[in-house]
Amino acid sequence: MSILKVEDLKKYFIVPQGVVRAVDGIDFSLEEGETLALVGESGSGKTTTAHVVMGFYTATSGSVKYRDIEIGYTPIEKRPLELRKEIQIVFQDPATSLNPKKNVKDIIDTTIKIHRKGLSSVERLKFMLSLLEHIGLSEDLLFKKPHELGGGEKQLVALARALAPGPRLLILDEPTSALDISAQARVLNALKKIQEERKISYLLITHDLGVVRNLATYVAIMYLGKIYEYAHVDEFFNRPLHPYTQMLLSSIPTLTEEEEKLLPQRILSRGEIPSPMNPPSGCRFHPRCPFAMDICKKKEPPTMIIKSEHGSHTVKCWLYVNAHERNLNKA
Amino acid sequence: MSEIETLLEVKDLYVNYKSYWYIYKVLNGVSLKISKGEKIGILGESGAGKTTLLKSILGILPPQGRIVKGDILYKGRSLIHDKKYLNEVRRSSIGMIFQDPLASLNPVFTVKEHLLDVLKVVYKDYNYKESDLISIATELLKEVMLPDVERVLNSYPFQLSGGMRQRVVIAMALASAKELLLADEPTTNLDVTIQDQILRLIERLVNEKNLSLILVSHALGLLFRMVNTLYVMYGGEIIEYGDARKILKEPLHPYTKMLLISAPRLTSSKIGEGIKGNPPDYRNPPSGCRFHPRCPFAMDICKKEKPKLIRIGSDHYVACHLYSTSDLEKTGPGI
Repeated sequence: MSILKVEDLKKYFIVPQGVVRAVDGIDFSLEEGETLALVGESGSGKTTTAHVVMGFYTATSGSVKYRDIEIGYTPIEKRPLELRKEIQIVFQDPATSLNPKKNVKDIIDTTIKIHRKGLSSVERLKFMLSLLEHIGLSEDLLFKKPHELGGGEKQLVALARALAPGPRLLILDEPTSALDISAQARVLNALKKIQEERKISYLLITHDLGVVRNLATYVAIMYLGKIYEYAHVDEFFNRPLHPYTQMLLSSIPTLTEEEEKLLPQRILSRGEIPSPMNPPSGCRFHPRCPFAMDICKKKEPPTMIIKSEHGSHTVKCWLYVNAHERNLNKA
Repeated sequence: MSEIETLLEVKDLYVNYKSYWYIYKVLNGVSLKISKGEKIGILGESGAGKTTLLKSILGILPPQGRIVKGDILYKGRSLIHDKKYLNEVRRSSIGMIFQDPLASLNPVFTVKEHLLDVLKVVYKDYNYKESDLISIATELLKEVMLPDVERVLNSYPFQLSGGMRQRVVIAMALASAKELLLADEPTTNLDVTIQDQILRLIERLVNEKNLSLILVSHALGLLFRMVNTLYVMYGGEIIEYGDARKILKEPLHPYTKMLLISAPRLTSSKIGEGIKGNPPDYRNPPSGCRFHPRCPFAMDICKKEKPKLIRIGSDHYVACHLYSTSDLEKTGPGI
C-alpha cells in the first residue's frame, strides 16, 4: 500500500479574471521510505499539489489518499490530530516560517505540547535534546532566537519542529533554495540520515536538479499543472525523454566534464512558462518545444510507459507515441 | 601591468557599517584588479561582503557604510576622493545589474519612466528630446531581447514576469555600461531555464560590446561558465584567487575545498558534509584568519595572524597559513 496516492488531482482557483488551473489532473504515488521529487518552474503547480496534500487547500476534483484514506477534501483544521501528526511540512524560507519572537525551545515545544500530550516539561526537554542531537544541532541553540542562527541552522530547527510529532510523510517545500551551498549540504545530509533511520517518506518540491539527484528516489516533472515525465532518479538522469526535461537539464550550469557528459544534447532554453489561466492547447509545452509538430498543438499527448530497469518510466509526449507506433508496425 | 591596461583596481579596501550600538567591520583589506575585456567572478556565500564590495565601487553604500581605508582606482584615478570623477564614470562607463529585479524596480513607475530616468542622466550633455530618449530606450529593450517592446515600455514591474523584469534591469545597466558591467547575483530568484536565457544574454552583450565583467554569485556552476578569473571571498576577505578552471580542479584554501565538495553534483548522490558553524559576526570578527573557527586545520598562528595572499604556481593565490609554513605548499592539505 502506498503511503500517498494521488489520482487525477485537479485544483482550480477562481479569480476575477477567470479560472487558474494550477493543478490539472496529475497522478503519482509515493511508497514508504521513498522520496518523490516534484520538479518544475515556478507556476507549474508543485507547491499547490503539496498544499492540497497538507490540507491548506481542498481539491477541486480527483483523489488524494493517505494510506487509503481520502484526505483531499478535508481541510487541515478538520483533520483529526492523528492524521495531522503523520503529515508534516518544512517550508521554503526558514526566516519567515519561524516565529522571530520565540526561542528555539519554545518553537519546538509548541509542537510537542500539541502532539505528545502528557509529557512533563522535563520529558519534553529530554525529547527535544535527543531530537536536536539527531539532526546535528548543538543544544546551545535552545535559548537562541531565530535571528541569532545561521540560515542552515534555522532550516534545521524548522526540520526539528516538523519531526517532533513523529510524521510518516514529510513535505519538503524547496527546503534548501534559500540556503548557501555549505548550509544546503548540512540540511541535505540531515534529511538523508533521518530518512535512513526513520524510514519517513518525503515529498520533495524543488526546482534544483542537483538536490533531486541527492535526495530523490523518483522524479516527476511538472509543467503548467501536469506531470510530463516520471521516472526513477537513475533512469531519469541517464535517459531524460521529454523535451522539457532535456531543456531543464541542459540549462544547468555544470561544474565538471563528467557532469557535462551526462547532460543531453543542448536544447537552448527559450520562452517562458505561460499563465496557467490560459494554458496552450494540446501539449502545454508546445510553444517552447523545439520539436513541436502539428499534432502537439491540437491534441494532448497520451501517457506512454517505457520500460526501464528501474520500473516504469512514463512520458507524455507525441514524439514517443510515434516511435511506439512505428515499433508496433515493424513488429 | 601598465596603468592603461588596468581598468579598475581595488586597493586594500576596508569598509565598516555603523549601527546605533555596533560597528560592523565587513570588508577587511580587499584588493582586486580587472583589465579591459576581462571577466572576473566573485564567489562567496551570503554575508561574505560581495555586494558591499560592488556598492563601494559604485559609491552607493548606504549611509551607515563607510570606507575606512584603501582606495578604488578607475583607470588610475581615485573614485573615492574625486566625487566628480565618480559621477562621470558612473554615468558613462560602469553599469550595474542589481540582484532582485522586483526590489530594484520601483513598483509605481513604468518601465519607460525607469529607463528615461537613467537615460536623462547618461545623455545629459547631449540635449536630447524626450522622443530621442524613448527611441534609445526602445533600442535598449530590443537589445535585451524583450518581445513586444511597446507594451513593455508602458508596463509596471508587476505586469512583467521575473525573466522580463531582469531583462529590464539589464537594459538599465546597459545604458551606462560602456566599459564595465557589474552583475550582482543576476539570476537568483529565476527559474533554471530563464537563468540560462539571462546568462546567454549577458554573455552575448559582454562579448559584443567588449565589456569587462564583474560577476558576483554564490552559484558555482554559473561562475565557472561565465568567468576566467575567480576571486573567493569569505568574511569580507579575498581568500583565494586565480584561474577559475584551476580553482575548480585544485582548490587550495580549506574553505574553497569544503565548499566545492558541498555542491550537489548531477553525477552522484554523494555530497560533502557542508561547513559547520556560521559566517563570522562582523561586530567582533575572529582574530587572525577569519575562517579559523570553522577550519578543521586551524593552527595557533591562524588565531593570531591574518594570512597574506601568497602565490602558488602561476597565477593562483591563496591566503592561508597552511601554505606559508611548511612543505604542504606543494601538495596542500588533503580533504
